[in-house]
Amino acid sequence: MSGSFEQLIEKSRKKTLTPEDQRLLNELFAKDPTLKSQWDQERRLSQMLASLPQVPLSKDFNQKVLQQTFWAKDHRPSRKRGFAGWMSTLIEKRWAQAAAAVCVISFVTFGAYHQHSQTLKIRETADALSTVANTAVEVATVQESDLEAIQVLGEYEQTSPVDDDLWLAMVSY
Amino acid sequence: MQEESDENLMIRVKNGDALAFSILMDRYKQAVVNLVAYTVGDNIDSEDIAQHVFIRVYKSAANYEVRSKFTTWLFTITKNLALNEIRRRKRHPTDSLDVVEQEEDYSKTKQYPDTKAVAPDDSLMNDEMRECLTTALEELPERQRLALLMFQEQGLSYEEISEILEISLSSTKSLIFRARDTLKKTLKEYLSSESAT
Repeated sequence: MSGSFEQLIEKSRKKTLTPEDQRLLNELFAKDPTLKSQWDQERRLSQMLASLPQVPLSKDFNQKVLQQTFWAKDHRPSRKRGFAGWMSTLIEKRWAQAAAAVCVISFVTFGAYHQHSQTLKIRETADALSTVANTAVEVATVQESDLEAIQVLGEYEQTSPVDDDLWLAMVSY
Repeated sequence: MQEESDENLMIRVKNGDALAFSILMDRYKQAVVNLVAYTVGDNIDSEDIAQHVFIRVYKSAANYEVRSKFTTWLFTITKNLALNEIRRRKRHPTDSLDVVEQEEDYSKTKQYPDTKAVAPDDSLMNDEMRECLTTALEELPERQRLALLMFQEQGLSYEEISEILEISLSSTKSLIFRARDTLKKTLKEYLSSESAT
């Protein structure tokens, strides 16, 4: 009996009792009159809780929330952004466009300068190598002619004392 | 015309629909403010807290999953912010200076007409009884108070409340039963005198 009474109380908290529930309740009251006061207490408490006043709200509640969410600014809910999300946001910004243009121009300028420097360096290296090669050929030619002259001198025989002095001077040189 | 479901509106909010967000606010702002005010125990800051609830709803819209009921999600956020506020006040006792003013303002709110569908008896509408009821509510442990308000005021199911409070179904029923039991004892004078009439 107690179980069905509790069930009816539970039910009455959420919805209106059906005529069948009401009939069952009256039967329970007839069997145990103390249940009536319990029932009334429950009902009164529910009514009191339902009588709690509504807390006043300002008229611009929605407006305040929308302002704080910056909705008016971009009309977009915040969400976790991926690379594509950030890129699309940046593409929309004028300062980002300007920054991107500056970056591209700087990159192209630097690339051209770097290329030009490299070409110059290669040309200078080639010139230097050419100079070295030419100098080496000239030196070799001079050395060869000097050697021939020395050999020729070595083949001469001593003919007079005067020549001895000349010979010594040449050899010491 | 059939009213658009909360879940559909949230999908629209996820896609940046401001109108859908406003409809959701219109539907639930009063419930959220009431729950915050009666949980925290005053209505001075309750509107600010309620606004933060909706700001968080908006900011977390991308994480909302349609599988879960919107009200469960909304009142979970409300519960968290209300409990945070209670803890913040406990940590900063200087806030208690405001309580006197809050009490005064609270009584002012009692002049507002109750627009709820279930009209209580006129005999219940006196200020003294409401004062006793609000005091009795404030004296309840915070989780009992929250559970009772969500059940009685917001009409949430036991299942929803258990999900919001992250406790079992039986614990939820127990919280509500104990809250009602305590209130019946505290308000015995009013309940028995009314029942006698």
